[in-house]
Amino acid sequence: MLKYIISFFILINVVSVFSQKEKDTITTSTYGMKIGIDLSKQIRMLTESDYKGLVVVGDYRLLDKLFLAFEIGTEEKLIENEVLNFNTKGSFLKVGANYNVFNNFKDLENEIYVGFRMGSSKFEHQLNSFTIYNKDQYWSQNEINSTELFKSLTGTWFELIFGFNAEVFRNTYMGLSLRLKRLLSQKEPNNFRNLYIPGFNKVLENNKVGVGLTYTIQFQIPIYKKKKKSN
Amino acid sequence: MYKIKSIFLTILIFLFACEPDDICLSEIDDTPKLLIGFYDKNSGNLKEVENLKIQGLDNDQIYIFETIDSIGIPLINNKNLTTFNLTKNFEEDNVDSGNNDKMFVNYNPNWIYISRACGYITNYDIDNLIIENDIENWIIDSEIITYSIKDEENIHVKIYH
Repeated sequence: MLKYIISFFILINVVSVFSQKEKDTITTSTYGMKIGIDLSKQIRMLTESDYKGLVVVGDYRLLDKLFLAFEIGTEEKLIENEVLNFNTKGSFLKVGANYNVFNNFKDLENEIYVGFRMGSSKFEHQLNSFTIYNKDQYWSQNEINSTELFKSLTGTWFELIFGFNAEVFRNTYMGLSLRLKRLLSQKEPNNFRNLYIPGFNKVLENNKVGVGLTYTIQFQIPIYKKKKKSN
Repeated sequence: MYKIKSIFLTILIFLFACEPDDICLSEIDDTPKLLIGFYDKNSGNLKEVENLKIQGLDNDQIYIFETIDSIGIPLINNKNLTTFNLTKNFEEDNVDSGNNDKMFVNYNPNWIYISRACGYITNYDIDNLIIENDIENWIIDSEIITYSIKDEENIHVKIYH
């Protein structure tokens, strides 16, 4: 993971160095809409056999530094530990904004941004089996295979984001972001807990904080150009 | 740039921090046992049962062999019936020794979610407790004090002898 982070920093630095060699000219900046996918889900699908996910990401450049952003996706995961075995599947939507704090040289369009998202998810759990916590092992019958479906569950949360997008080719961006999340509300199942929420990720039982990571590739649809404000 | 890098590293550390709720702590109460107290029929006080052997039906292991006045016995989690053989005056080197009384406990198990690490526990709703009549019962009577088995704080069943 660190490898990607470092390479992104190098990439931004290299791009900046090249730009300084150019002559001073009046430059324009492209305003448009970016759309792409979160590749981290596809990486997870390769490394975790019991995970499926697809997330479409996008943003729209509203002002010079301000981007309206959204993410829409679906996830399915089998979670298994020593005492529980269950599937969670559902879909989610996140909307929010990014604010670019990076001053680009000339006609470059890289972003280092801070942002936020409001997330909302609808999902269900299928409990496959569980173990009865019993220190006494006299009957050694603590494994219960009883399937139960917990439907129509929901969760909402807030995310704080730090990330960057680098324009690797014209109108093609690669990005990485780290997220700190806080669960705001959830509809809990009866006699079970939301241990995983699609879009939010793993939910801890004793606090409401979660973390996340995205690794995106996005393509920009240019809509109009505007003269760039001087740096 | 350095400031940004430090923010970045802080969040990264957060990402890989360990998760404390993956361990089931032993302080957490597990599935309660059925607590039985042995009482004197006349005085109503706790009275020890001499050399009592308790063994579950169809279980090769002896659960306990001791002189005691109270005991917690485990019920089967996924069935409605657990049967125990309670043998008084048992002798270790003689399998058929002592006075054996058979006890049937009928109940409904309820599985209650505890946590990610501990899973579930069982609580029991007792329907009834039957002592099988034989030629010579050492158990005179039984009385269910608590029908809902949720903890091990008080005796659930009194057995008079």
